[in-house]
Amino acid sequence: MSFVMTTGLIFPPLQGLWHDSWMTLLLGLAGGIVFALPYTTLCLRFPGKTLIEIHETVFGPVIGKLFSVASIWYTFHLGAQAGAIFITFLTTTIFTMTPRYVFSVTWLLVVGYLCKKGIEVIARVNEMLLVVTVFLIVGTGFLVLNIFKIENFLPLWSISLSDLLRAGFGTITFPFGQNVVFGLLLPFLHERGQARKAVFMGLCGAALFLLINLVITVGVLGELGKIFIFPTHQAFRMISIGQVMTRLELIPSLIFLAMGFIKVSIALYAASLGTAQLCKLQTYRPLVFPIGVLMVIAAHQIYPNIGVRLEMVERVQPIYALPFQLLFPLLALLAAVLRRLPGKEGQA
Amino acid sequence: MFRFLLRKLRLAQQFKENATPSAGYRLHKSLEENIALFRAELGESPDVAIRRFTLNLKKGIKAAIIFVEGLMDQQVVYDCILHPLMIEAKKETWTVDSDLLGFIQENLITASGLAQEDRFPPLVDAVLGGDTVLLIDGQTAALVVSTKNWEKRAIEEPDTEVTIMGPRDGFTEDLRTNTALLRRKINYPGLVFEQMVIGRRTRTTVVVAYVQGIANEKIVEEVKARLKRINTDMILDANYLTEFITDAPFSPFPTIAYTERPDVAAARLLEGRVAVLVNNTPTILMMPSLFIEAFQSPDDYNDHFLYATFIRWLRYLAFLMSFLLPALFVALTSYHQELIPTPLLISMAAAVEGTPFPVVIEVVAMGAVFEIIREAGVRLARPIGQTISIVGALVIGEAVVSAGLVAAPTVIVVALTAITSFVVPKQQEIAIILRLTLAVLAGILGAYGIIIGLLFTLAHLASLRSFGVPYFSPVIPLQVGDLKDVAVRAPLWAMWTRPQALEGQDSKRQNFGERVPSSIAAEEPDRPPSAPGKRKKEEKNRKK
Amino acid sequence: MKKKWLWWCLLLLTGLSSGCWDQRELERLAIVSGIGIDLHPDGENYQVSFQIIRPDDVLGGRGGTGGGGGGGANKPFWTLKAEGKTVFDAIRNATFESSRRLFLSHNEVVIINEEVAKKGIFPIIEFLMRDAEPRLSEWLLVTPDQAEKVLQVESKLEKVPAAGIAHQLQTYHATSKVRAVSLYDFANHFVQKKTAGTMPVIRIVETDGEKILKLEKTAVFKEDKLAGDLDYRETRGLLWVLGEVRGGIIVLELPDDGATVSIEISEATGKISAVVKERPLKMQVEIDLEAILGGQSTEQNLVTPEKTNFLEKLTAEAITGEVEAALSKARQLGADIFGFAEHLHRYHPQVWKELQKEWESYFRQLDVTIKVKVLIAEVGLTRRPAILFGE
Repeated sequence: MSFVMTTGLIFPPLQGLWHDSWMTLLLGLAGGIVFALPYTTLCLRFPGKTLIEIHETVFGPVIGKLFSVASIWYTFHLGAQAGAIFITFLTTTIFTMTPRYVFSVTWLLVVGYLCKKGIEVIARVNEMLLVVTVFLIVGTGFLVLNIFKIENFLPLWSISLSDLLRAGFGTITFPFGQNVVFGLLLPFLHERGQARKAVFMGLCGAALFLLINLVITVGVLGELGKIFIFPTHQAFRMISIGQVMTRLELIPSLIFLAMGFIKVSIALYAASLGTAQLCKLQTYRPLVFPIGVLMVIAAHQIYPNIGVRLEMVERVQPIYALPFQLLFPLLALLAAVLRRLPGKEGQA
Repeated sequence: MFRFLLRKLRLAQQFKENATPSAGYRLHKSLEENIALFRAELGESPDVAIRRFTLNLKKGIKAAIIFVEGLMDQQVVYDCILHPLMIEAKKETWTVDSDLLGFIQENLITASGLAQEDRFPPLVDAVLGGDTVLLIDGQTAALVVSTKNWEKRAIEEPDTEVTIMGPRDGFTEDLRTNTALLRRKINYPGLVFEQMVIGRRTRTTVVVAYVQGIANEKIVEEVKARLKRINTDMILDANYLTEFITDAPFSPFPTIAYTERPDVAAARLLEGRVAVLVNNTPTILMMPSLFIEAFQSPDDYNDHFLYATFIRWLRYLAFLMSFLLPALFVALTSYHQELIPTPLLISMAAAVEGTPFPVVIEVVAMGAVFEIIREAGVRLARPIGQTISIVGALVIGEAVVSAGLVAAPTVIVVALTAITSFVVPKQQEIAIILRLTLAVLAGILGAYGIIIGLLFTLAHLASLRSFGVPYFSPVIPLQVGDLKDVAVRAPLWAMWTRPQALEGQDSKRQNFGERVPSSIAAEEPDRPPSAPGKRKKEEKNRKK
Repeated sequence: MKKKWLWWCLLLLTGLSSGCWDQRELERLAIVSGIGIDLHPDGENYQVSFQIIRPDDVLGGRGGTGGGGGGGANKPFWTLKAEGKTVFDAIRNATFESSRRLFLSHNEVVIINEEVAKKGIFPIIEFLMRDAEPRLSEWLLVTPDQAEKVLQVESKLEKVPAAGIAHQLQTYHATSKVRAVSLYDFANHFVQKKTAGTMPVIRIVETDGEKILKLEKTAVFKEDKLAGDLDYRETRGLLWVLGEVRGGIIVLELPDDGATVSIEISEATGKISAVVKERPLKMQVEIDLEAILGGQSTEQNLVTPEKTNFLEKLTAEAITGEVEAALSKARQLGADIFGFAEHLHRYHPQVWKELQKEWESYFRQLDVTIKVKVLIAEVGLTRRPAILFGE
């Protein structure tokens, strides 16, 4: 279950990846696993507790609340970001005339509905979509074989090590590091003991499919891929079967879009659940739509244009996301170890 | 909405308390008083017959039988009650002191079903149910003789689920016949029938059937509990029950399945499902019901598995088309023209040229027209129905296009959709609802609208449960083992487990892949005939 | 509960009433099948012409449903002109004269006038890549005539002339003497290192008083500007190197009796490699050809091992000649149409870094060795020539 969820979380941002090398991806995976260590460890030490509750036990009510607010903000921001990406995607590729608010509203409706149904439904829908996506990626892989050029991967070591590291670091934070959201959700998984394994498996699976996708994109588009905002979309545009089946890019785009819905709903779900726990509410459900509305507004405010978004993903993100993804869980873990917290109540 | 329902329910509760005034009555000693009681309860209805006679034992004792004409067998009443009591009785030696009723029961009445009853209401029920009640003067109890027999429809092949091969019998309106049909399919003592009466006025007999040792007991209990909570005054058809006990009353997806075929019912029972048989209805209810069941036709299991798998995939395709095609057509023609191959686009553009309405409106309107024609065809007598279809299909279809009101491609799409929707008749209603909604959504937002609609549907499907079983299983949540009857129709010997989704007991049907090996000596010396099955089995064991 | 339903209904209603922004009904679209780009005579502006399909007339006016009804008399297409500061501007300005919005997704060819090509086609390519409507697979062509006039020439076989041009391009493998270049191919040159782009040249020729379109030559671009052109022979030389030769005939002249032999190309590959150890570095082109003996005008029986070997040698020489011709033209123009630079960049990145700056002058003197291997594997249906006048 969580395998799928994790993958689902990571899938959508592949439109944002345009690195001309697959190596950054592997680097990102390695980094992602490292990043996943602190929070999974935390969750294993405090079984059945979410990050919010852990923060409170570890840091005490006041500082803990601060940390919790920070993580909720990050989740919130993540949802807004993903939403912004996908809405931009829609308005630039398929629906060039439609105002953005139409998508925002419909987006909100679907995501809100999914959230209200709860994490189980999200996971199941995701599972379904994932199967479709895998088939689709593999299928299109075959379809583009005739225009696939292996030479497009050459030269192998064209970018300098520092560039590679920087790009790799970028991939760690976006998309791999975003897994930290699961810190808010892990306790709700069925097989609690296997949380860490599930997260790692999810990371690897996601990396595998991102890799396949990247290989297709680079192989088809070559250097040309660099100039596009959504290279995958462009690669699918190249499919042409016997001059009849052309311009099929709409279909994969829509599937990715659906995955985008899932990603945003997970973020929204996590954010509202976190807020509910923070405020000691009985249920998160009434929070879904207000937070959703805020998220949409935030999406429009933070990313008014595509330039800002690209800048954000490529430059700002690595530094901005670092504290949320690595620092806070690490701090919490440290504090927990120092205060020897987990032992007594953790095993109960 | 719920509050409104609750209020209704509460109203019904009070209603029940006021009803059935004769509860707890006992019989009097005097025959005349008893007859008067019956008269008071049953009124002067001409079909209720009271036949007085004298019991010719040592001394003449007054007696009467009460029955409803048309529900009982005249011959049985004569042969088993009247003849013995009036004529045979003369020969009998009966001492006045001994128990008269017991004596009659043991020595005189030759009917197979017989019971003694001293309370009044059950006697009324018995009479209304077609039994004959024997009242004897001076006795505070009566004898209920089973004489049920009425005009029944013969066992016929059901019209709704036609198969090419396999058994042709179908359930009838008669409950006993139906239970007998099931018994005939499953000659196993574990097949349990539990009877209850639902509906204050109709007093419909309902039978819950399941196979003990296979069905999940929690589900059986849940079914019984839900049935018991029904409090209404009439149950005329199986659907009356469905609407009361279904999991999601507002969902258009049926979480309870129907069948008119005993073979289907038997197979489902042996998968661990529970069946509910309703008296006077030829359809029986099967629960829990999964989405995927609609695609499993009984013929699948009568054909070769490869062909059955192929046909099943065709069915999936047809179902997808039946709700997606109009929406895709709308989205393609009014939003995503770049996806249409150029030559096709040109001919479509030529066809659309000059038609007055946008494609969405054409599609929705033609869809509605089709549904009207279909409805008219179904409701009318069959010969007229056919005329209607011809008028509808040929005249309207042809005329509408040549008058330039609707583009020809639209008519083609709508017609194709109509045909595909009949491939999966059990989900047809959903297909119609989804089709129109998606077409409208596609008209508003193109393919994005379709995706939104599908996501909503998917989320809804994922959240549905039928008696605790996820409705969309085994696809989501994925149960790989169950896919053998979903993604393919595996050979019967390979379907060695019952569906895991139902969480029944005794999940194994047979040993894995165990076929009947050929007993004729193998011609190839290096390969014993039963090798493949065994080898797989060994592998399986090793894995464990 | 009831209120909630009300909200949903309201939402749906607003959706219904205000929807349909991107909706474009088929009958409100002008399907563009070809674009021609000329310079406007009075100055800087572009004059863009569009070939718009008239669906009713394409189908031969068979269903006279409303509308025109004129029957087969109308041309199945209409050429619309518009001018604008940029191509995009011109496309939108076209609606001044068109009742329908131009729809570019089914565009098949873009024909660029020579003058425009000389000025630089970067803005055109840039727009075609950026806009969501045009396909990456549309064909690019250059014409010395007015692009508008080219679009107006009716195809003798196809209803839609632009489709005719597209088909004409795609039959290039009958000769391999012209090159079909799609927007995708050309754009790839932009991002590749210094590879010069090429485009086929199309022009109007008059035979028997009728105008028809002919593909001749291949235009060579330096950066985004038209620099020169290759003739048929040179074009095939280029295609040999790129490995894009799919078919065609090589005509050999036998030295002993002057008879001609046609060799039919059945399969060919071209490979570039570089010898980087020594300076100046050398490039190597290896061409492998499998061919069929397609016809001969001599009475000798050529199907003997010696004769076949001889033919193979002759063919190899002919190919070398073609490649040499292309090479010398490319050197002369200073345009690396073969992608030598890209090869260096991919396989010898260090060397490329070294040479990057003075590549053009380096290219002009680049030493290229050409190795051709020919195998005449089949000879057709006859094993000896059909001789009419006896032994």
